[in-house]
Amino acid sequence: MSGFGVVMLVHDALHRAARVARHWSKNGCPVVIHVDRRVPGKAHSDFVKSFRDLDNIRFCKRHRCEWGTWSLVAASQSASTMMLDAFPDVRHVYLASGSCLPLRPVSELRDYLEDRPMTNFIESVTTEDVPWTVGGLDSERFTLRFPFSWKRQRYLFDRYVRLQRALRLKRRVPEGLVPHLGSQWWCLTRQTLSAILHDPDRRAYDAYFRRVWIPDESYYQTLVRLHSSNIESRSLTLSKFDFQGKPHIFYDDHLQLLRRSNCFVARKIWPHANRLYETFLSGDIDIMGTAEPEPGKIDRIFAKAVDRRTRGRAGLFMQSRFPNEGWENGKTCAPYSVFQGFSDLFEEFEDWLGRMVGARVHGELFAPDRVEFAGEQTAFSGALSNSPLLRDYNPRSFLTNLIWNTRGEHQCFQLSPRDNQKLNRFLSADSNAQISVISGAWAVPLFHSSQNFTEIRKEAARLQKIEAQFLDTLRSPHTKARVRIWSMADFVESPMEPLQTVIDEIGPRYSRRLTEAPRLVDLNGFGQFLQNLKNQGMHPHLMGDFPSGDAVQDTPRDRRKPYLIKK
Amino acid sequence: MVLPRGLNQVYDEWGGEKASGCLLHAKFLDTFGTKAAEELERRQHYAASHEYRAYNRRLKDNPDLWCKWSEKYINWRQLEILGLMSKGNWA
Repeated sequence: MSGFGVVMLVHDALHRAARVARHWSKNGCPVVIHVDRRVPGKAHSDFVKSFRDLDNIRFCKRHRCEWGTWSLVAASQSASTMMLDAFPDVRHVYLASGSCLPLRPVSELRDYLEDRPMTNFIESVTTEDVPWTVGGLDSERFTLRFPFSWKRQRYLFDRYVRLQRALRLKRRVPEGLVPHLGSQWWCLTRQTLSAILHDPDRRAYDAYFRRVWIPDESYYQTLVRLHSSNIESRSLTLSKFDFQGKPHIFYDDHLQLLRRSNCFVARKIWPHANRLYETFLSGDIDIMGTAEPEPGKIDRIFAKAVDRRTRGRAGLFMQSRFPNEGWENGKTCAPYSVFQGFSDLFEEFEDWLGRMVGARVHGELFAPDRVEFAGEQTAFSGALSNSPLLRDYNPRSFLTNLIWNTRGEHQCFQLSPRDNQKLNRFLSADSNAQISVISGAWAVPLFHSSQNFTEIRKEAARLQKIEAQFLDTLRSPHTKARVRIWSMADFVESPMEPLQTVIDEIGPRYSRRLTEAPRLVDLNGFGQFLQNLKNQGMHPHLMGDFPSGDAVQDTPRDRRKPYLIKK
Repeated sequence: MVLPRGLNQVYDEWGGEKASGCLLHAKFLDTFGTKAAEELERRQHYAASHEYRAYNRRLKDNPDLWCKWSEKYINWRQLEILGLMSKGNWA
């Protein structure tokens, strides 16, 4: 009973490799082990001696192995040749490393392969279709020469690559070969493997691949295409790479994940992951029968991890994520609404808005001497303080924290030219911001104020200048926020339509017909007030055209009573 | 010993998250009020126990830092969801 044999490349953590080799062997799989020449003599001889009781384990000729070089192919060639010669009833050869761990009973893998006697399991993809070569070289792996070690002689490696590019030096790919790439962990049939090893042109192919970069990911992957048409282009060994192209290492806390994957073998396992080794080599692992491996489950989780590491969570600023400007992938984490001028023009606008949309409606969060959280609270979600000092120390973080802390709840707040203006640029560049401005409405509180007129005139000029600047920012081509601007005159003329628009935008969840209008403040005499400002030499232009007489006077009167709109 | 520069770069600047954890400050423990008073006695701290004096002043009358927005600690996953720490590349 053998069915398939395991070729194992071992270079460190020998005690783990020994455990796994023993497991294969005891379950009836012949094993040929290649031990890296760099393993010291004593360790090697102890390792070999530990298998004295097992008769289906062999050791092949040792090569000095280095990552990314021909030596790894040479090692697998020697071991595979020995496997085919020494164990004639082996029908599939499984290439594994010392840090591979079988996740399912050996008999299940044997049955799986027996059901597919002619199938070669080897990931083999043409270079154009490979998205996963992290760090650049894909088709050039086959056309340049790589005499220098990437790990030890990086400088020479890079310089030599650049030189060849500059001189347009290219090697010819041997006739008949179409370069393919793929995971170096394969499982081939006896026919295919011996055809590759006994190919009359093998010398030429070997000579060529000797100078290809990372030939262990392309030698068998390319040659298998010459000798078999029965190729399942996937590896039976689960192995994941992180965002830098290094193999992910599995630890004890991946136990459940590995169990659920239904994969036959996984790599790399951390040598000290005792629980993984205990569980999967104990012999009483779950029986999955003929279930297909489902690396998809694990792929999703690892893809998420890569995404978390490379893109992170939008709108989050913390000790291990502090993106440079422009690299935030979203300046804030969720949409929010900013209202300028509304609370000046409507009485109790915030209460009204709160009733209409069921979102959290704050007052002026950036008022000069206070932070008006909803309900006049002294702290808000995430224990965010209402200290204006802390807020002004870093207004941007104040806002991003507020939006982050209230995920799941839409935030609205009022803004005014009276407030801290430091965030204007940030707000307008944030695609999550929905900014609605009634321009010139800041004049209404001045109109109602009892200050002396010289003061009012001065303040009006100041506020108008600030708002004009804000509007310029909002109208700049860099704006990403959803911006709506009405002049006060237009808004007063017909407020319901714009209000409905704004409320619909807050979210379809809250979307319904407005049944109740907010109450407009008394604007009786506002036209005259503007005229007075003009008479004093100030030109209030942001509010649009208000007749200087009492023409507006009727409009607010009509609207003072709440009324219903029917569909 | 010379350590790789990367070890000092604890946060990601290009939008991603590196793995990070959080520390619990002792001021959140219920024993801290007594500790602050005791340290004022011992006077063994720099800047004339400047920090302990501040703790003592604020915690003496109001030792409870719990507020409406506080959350009960459940586990590290909760802290991760809250954005107080990150698994980074960990899957």
